[in-house]
Amino acid sequence: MNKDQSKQPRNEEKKQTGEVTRRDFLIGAGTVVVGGAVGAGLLSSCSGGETTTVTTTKTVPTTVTTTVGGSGAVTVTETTTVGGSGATATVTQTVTQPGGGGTAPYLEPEETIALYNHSGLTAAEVKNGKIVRSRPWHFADGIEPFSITARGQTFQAPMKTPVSSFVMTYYKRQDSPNRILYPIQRVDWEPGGDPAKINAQNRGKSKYKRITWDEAATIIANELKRVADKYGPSAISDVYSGGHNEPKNVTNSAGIHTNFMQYWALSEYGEPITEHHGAATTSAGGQLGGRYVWGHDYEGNPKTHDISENCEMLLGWCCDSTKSWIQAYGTTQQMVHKWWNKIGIKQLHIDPHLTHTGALYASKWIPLHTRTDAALMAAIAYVWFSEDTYNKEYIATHAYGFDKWQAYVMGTDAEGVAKTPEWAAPITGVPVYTIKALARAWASKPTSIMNGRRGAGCCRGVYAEGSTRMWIYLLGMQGWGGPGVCYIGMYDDIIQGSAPKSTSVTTQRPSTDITNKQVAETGVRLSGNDTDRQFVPRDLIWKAITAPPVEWWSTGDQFNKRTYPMEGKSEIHMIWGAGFAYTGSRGAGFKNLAAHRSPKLECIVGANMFMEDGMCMCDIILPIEVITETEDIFSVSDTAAHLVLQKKSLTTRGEARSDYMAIKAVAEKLGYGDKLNDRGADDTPAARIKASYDAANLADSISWEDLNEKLVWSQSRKTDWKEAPAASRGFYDDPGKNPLRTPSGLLEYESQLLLENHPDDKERQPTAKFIRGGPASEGWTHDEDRLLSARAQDYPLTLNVSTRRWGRHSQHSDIPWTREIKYKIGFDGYAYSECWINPVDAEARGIKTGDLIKLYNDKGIVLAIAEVCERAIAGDIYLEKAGGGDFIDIASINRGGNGNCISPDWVMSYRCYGIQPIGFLIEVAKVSGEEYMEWKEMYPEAFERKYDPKYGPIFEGWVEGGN
Amino acid sequence: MAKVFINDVAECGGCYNCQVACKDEHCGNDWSPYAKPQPVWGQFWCKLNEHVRGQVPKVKVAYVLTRCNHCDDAPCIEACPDTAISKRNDGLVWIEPAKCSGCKLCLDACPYESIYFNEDLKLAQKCTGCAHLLDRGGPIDEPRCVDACAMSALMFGEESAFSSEISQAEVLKPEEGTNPRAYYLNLPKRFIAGTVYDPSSNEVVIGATCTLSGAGSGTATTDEFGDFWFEGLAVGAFSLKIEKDGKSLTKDNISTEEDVNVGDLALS
Repeated sequence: MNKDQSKQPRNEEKKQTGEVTRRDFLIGAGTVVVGGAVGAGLLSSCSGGETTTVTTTKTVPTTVTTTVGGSGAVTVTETTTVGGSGATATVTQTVTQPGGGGTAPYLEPEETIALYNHSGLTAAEVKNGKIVRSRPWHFADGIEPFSITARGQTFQAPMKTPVSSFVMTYYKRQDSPNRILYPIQRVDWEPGGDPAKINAQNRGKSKYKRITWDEAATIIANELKRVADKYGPSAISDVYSGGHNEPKNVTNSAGIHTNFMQYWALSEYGEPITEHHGAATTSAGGQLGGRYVWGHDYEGNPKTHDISENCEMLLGWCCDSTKSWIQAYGTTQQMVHKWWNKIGIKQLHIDPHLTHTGALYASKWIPLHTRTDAALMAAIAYVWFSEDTYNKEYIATHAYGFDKWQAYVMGTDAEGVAKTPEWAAPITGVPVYTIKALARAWASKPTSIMNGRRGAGCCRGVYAEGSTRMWIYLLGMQGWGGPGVCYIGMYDDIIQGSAPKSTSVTTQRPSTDITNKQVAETGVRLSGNDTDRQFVPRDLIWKAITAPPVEWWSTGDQFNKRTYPMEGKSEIHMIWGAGFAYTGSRGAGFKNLAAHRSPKLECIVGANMFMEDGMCMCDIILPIEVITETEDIFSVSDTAAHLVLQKKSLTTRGEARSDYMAIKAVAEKLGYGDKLNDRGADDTPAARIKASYDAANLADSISWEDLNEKLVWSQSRKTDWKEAPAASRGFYDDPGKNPLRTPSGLLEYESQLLLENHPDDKERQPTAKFIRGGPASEGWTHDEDRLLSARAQDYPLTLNVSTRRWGRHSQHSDIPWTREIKYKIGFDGYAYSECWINPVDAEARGIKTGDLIKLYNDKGIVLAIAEVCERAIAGDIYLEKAGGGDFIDIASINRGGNGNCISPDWVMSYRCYGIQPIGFLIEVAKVSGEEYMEWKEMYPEAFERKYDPKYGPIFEGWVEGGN
Repeated sequence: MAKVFINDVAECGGCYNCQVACKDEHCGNDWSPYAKPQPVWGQFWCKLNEHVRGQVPKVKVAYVLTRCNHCDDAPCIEACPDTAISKRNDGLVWIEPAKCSGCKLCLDACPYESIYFNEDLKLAQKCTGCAHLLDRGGPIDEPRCVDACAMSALMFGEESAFSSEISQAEVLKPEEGTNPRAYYLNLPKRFIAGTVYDPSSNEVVIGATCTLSGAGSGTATTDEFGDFWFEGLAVGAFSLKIEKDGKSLTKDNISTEEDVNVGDLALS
């Protein structure tokens, strides 16, 4: 912040510096704008040569063109007279420009565009077809960004988009060397389904050859027909794991291939393809556990003001809320956390690792062993029961089945184990006296829980749903919904408030047209809850492919058991997916990816922007445009709300196409090219953008012409906090009038739904318990307990995996400027992820900071560089998955830091279809030179593949002749 | 007319926007005559340095930004045989690429290691203060690192406007006598922290008086978790005495070469 500016609103500041707007500045070549006190920074050096003097005054809004010319060094002298008719101050600036005449590079014209940089809005300046910078977008005059006033103090978000370094630099991915530039076909794969010509065993290993779009589209169309004719359309699946795709509107993002294949299959064969069914991911704890306590996955909004006004202690529990910088509101999280500290809200962080949020904003870190949160919570409840420090009046009117919870905690149930602090201390690693102190501090003041975001969260790991339920149990015991007693959950945005006008602009997506046509022409409306059609479980794809049948439970109606393959349906034999991020954003990465080597899969098609994650398992790959290569219209909500018109700023690289044009190429081969919509000549991005604007009904607010001129139309997001009580206050005040969506309408400490439907499930029981698991022979899904499991003899450490601060999952690892922040170069010149290991664990294994280490168990090996540090406790390892799907062997050795590769085979628990990338047993060891050389001999292709530590794996390394 | 940089470590959220914005402005962009491009990888005209302090579970992390300090008595200017380095009237120290011969003498002269050598271009390079943006008169009127700062950790402007901040600020390596124009607020010192508990009751001890002596002195009282913190300490040797209800313990020879968690102390 410029101190001079901080004293006045930005609009005032602009007036004082002349009426020169951003766009004025950018008009015309060789233009110099002189306004206000420019030239304040003077260059002292002065050299001779031709000079041109430019004089202007502050009071004259002006753009002045300098004339430079001649040979040799050119000197431009700019004289600015500051002041009007009164006193003036004149400053002179002399700039030495490189010889040859023309305009100095720093003065060359730039065009500003509004860039929706994946998830946040930046102002990007474009020069000569290249983005030269991307920076926060400054709000227009009159916009009042998000603010909160509480305890007599005000938090005011700045007049610019709160973008993170990730958002600012996302555009750099456009010129990533890992961009897929043209269609490719695996060299040892042939269409036709002949096992001898598929060479499925070489997926992930063999290279590709360049083919034309026409060839690729023909092959894909023919394979779709061949497979559907032979097995029926249920043999075709859209299964993929995209991680996170770019949020394009008018050209569509990944997923449109599903809409098209369903339209085609239903039209041609009268039955659908087999869609994939993904497990609960980010919000798995709430989805699979929380909803059985309070009837929904997470608590709603608003509550930021309630916390700011009334909460005295915030428990950041498995929480790294300021790390979520991929979101549009980006750095606002850290601003608000800082402000909460300033207004006296004590923040405690409970996590096996000192998260970024904990490190910066917590007054106390209570470390505990991974996945023992439920034990700690049971012990806290024990203290409250013993000392009679919970809200009995609230429980009497707001809780159902509370006696079951009390019996479990006090040991008066069949289990008979009192969950005393003494019981919990050896399990959790938290001293008895600290457990008691925490319980008493919590009971003594309004306390809220912050959970999730991108922390080493325990809400999406092995048996994690129980932790989420217990958080709610404990909040209930202290009067959840009352002043300052809230739950900031996985998806909660602390910036709350709505804009006066909706700017929804998603109606003109090509996928919507296709589905509308499909419904109109076939009469079939497909739903994710359909029980009469076949799905394939994406997160158990290894089982579906290699050892069917497989059964699992839906994440919607969780008592709806699904089976694959369904009677009368084919197993899948062809996949047309997008990304294949199994090792970055799903569990059991090696196993799920390696299953793609089955010859049952006769053809795998992928479409993506980057050769990342498991794209190398595909037989045919289509190159897709990145967001900066498209024009589009977006609705963005950050500390204000914006309608954004994004102009195409960069020339599309190679032969990349939009997702829509990619599927259209195949549709044309199948005779569907002109059937995808009824738009005729208006089937263009530009026409769709205009149609999106028209459909949003915003003409009264901003004309189409103005939007094209200004690029961004912003609105203040406001909430009248007095009129908007905390989301759960109604239930707190009167549960009869404002019941929860549970059968009882109350907080269910014993879930009636679970009791009724899955009474014998010993993993997800009607009352949440601390589940430790055990051997499969005893009916357990997971055997990952560091104290009880026999496996812990070989794998005594527990691994936490989290996404890094500069990317989503394992994607976005090809931006060198964020990459160089934390990547560590190994002795082999490779840039590895950083792995935190406590000095105690490191010393016991002879590991030092900078050593190349392997994290391993019976599922495989993940490589990283050791960072021996005090942010991890002994026994618990922390790994930021950063390097993406870079493999020495696709089935057993990852060097991108994707700890998900070696997480357990099954999902959260037998009946909980949620991901499990956190909280499992491993061992860590230094990689010996001998072992490294063995890998080099065994997997020469992996070591010979072209690689650049600045960017990671690169596309060329996969193309024949490209190495 | 002289500018200063103010860096408030306490406000920094460690988001790296400053470091990355500098790369965004200067990598791949030729801002002649002010600066040639910064290498894409491994050089940091603006660098955020992460410091992990203390031991489990008393651990804090501080982020301290370093870049050219634009010293008023800059040794690099003296060291340059090509008169390529000069002091602008606004206080910024500028390496003029057209004059730099690539002799590297300035790299050795800089006590802050803020000058990098661009091997491809054979040029010494460093923070320019984004002078090319300041001089062209808008619309960006501050260095990119400051523009991108999400918090109010980085500020830039006229020295006169920051007199109150400067009066409380420090500079890095004052002993070098270079008179930097980059001022720091809340630079981390050392801490001594710990937890006090009663082993007989297995309870934390709340309200114990903790007295520090030696290289500095002070008192603290244990909080509801039995924790005490002494912050802002000098490097040196300390003694710690803890007392409550007639019970006491003493720990001597606590060195603050590093930040120290003295651990969980049994008061019995």
